[in-house]
Amino acid sequence: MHKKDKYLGYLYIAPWLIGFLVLTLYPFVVSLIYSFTEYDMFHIRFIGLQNYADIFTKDKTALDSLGKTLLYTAVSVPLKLLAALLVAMMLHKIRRGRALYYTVFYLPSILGSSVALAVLWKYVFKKDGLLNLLLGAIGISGANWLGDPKLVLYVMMLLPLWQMGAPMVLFLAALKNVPGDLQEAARIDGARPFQVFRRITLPMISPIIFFNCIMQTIEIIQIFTPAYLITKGGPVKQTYLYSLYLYDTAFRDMKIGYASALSWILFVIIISFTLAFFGLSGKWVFYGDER
Amino acid sequence: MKRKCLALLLAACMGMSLAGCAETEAGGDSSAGGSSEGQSAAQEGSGEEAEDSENAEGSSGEQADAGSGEEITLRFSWWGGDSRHEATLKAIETYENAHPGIKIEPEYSSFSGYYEKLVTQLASSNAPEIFQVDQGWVAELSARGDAFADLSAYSDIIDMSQISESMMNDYCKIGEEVSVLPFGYNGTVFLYNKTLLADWCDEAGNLNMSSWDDFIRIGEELHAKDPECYMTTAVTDGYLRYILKPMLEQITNEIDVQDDFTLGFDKEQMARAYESFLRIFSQQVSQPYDEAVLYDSMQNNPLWLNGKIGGIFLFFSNIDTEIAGLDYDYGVVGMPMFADAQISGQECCPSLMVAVNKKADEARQKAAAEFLEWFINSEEASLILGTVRGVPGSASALQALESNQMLSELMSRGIQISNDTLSLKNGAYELNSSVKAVFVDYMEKVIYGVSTPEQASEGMITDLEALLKDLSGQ
Repeated sequence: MHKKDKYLGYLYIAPWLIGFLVLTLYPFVVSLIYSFTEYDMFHIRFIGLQNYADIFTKDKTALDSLGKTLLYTAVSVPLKLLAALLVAMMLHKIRRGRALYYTVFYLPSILGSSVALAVLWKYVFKKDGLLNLLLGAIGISGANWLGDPKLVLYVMMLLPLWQMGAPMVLFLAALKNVPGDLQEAARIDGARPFQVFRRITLPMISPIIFFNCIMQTIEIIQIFTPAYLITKGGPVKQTYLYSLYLYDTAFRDMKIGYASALSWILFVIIISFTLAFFGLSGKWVFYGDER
Repeated sequence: MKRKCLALLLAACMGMSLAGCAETEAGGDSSAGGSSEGQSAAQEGSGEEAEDSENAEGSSGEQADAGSGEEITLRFSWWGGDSRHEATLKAIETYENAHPGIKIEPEYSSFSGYYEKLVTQLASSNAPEIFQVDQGWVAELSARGDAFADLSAYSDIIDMSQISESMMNDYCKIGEEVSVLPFGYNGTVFLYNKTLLADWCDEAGNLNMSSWDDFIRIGEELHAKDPECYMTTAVTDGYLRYILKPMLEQITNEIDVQDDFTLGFDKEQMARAYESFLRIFSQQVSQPYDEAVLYDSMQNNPLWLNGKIGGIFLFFSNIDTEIAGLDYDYGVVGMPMFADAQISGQECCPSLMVAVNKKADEARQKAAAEFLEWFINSEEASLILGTVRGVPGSASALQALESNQMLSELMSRGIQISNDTLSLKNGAYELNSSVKAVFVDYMEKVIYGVSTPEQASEGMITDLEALLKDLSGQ
């Protein structure tokens, strides 16, 4: 009976397991093999570490794209987390109509793969878009947000803010778990609201901040849709983010081996960031059961 | 500490999972490649699968059936807009009704992503039996993928004499093999708004413009008269293909990317083309580039829709689409030229092409050839399809449209202008997507002032030579 239950368990997780093995683990391993080859989808040739050497020594576009992607991540992740935390704190205080607000703020996050948002963003920030129409109504001449090479990357950095629903929900759950008696005791001792937030709330929700930090970094560093749909990487490659370059290399230039090497470099960067976050977490993440 | 370790492990799994997603398709190719072996095995089989139900068709069973008089299913993929999809589906339905043993499964989409999907399908031996291709892809798909069946083997089925000899030789044949056939053909013309440009037209409404100097002068005067108006606008691809590259070809009298993987221009010639090209922006002849390129098509550009644009360069087969729903009077004129130019630089080439999958079995290739003969050459199909794939490249199909007055006056005029204009053929790799990306990259650098024309031409030539070396397989 016990053995039968075990097999039943495997059966239940089979859909996920098969999906993981076929759609994630297999491509993951194969892409590593491809990264040591010259592969154009039709012919394959082993070239050792040549792809990696070329990326670091000859490929200025790759390094430029990586630089832009890191800048994008460095600005977007803190902005998104800050916005999510602020909204979560406001929702935490609200008593009436809370469910409605939850839904409204979470809704953009369930619009799959952000394609709809990217299209919406384009219509908002076009030269004759909604934002400039509103600015025009109050007598301000709006900029060409998506056409100006100096502005466009920063405008795109705001886009992930619309999908702050997931980190917001986690923050909200964390805020609810902050013991009220601690906050109350602090207030009785004369702490001001900001001090209560800084000394009590923030440390208590730091594990969730840490988790959100890692998850959002992993997500945003791979961002592809806005650059592909809104600007195609332009103007003058100002939004040519790493994932878009990777995609073009694979499917436009048919250099699957080279693109695999690019993806593995991205993977190593993501893992490095994750390890760095963990390394630094001891200094600022507070787990209730640790001293 | 245990929690930290667990969290680290989970985060590593998450990272691996997400990074792995980026390569799903690459991996998918290999697995699909495995299935093709299964297909081949089935082809060689004795036809046990003949008893399979219709639901099981689409792979091995179907291929075993192909030679035994059972229903043959052909997959046919194309890209396009709604009108092309609707007309093609109607044509397919008509053909299926007349040929009960043939079933054609349509696979249609927009242009975006089509090439990537097709390449992946070809690599995994899962491409449709009949697929639409762009002229710019033919050389590379043939060289790398060996994708195309030799249609000359079906010359008894497809009447290729309906297609002009020059088009067959320049675009359809690779060596002695007929790799692709044209659905339609195209040439670049300038479609102008007679209402807006009335001051520069003669009494019959013909625009007095034959040189780039005329074009610039009219544009300047138009913009001075009404600062909201510009002589022209385009999307990124349009600025490259309809303005910059024609200017370059007019300067060199050569195909810019030659079939032997060399360039038909030098640094000075490219710099001169850039300088001439920049005048359309510096002298406010064109809508500013940073505004124009935010629109995917003319149909989204408010200046064009509101009659504030003098005209646009376009393929004549797109004329009716671009003026659909607009209530202005239009005319057509040929490409402006430099005073010393010998050729127009217009692209006169097949609009869309079609190929039969080399990996399809003989019965399917034959059935595909029969379908294509009907689809490309027959009057019945031509009248259903109209100009949804451009002006037909087949003489019999064109005749059918003309005799039924299905070509608009503007389109007929465009055809006439294009046919009367001396132009060069497109190089086999001229419209290759990687080659085009290099052109666009440097064109934008010049427009935005990131590079001078001299710097851009030098950088572009270096990059193109490296890319062409790669494409040539050296």
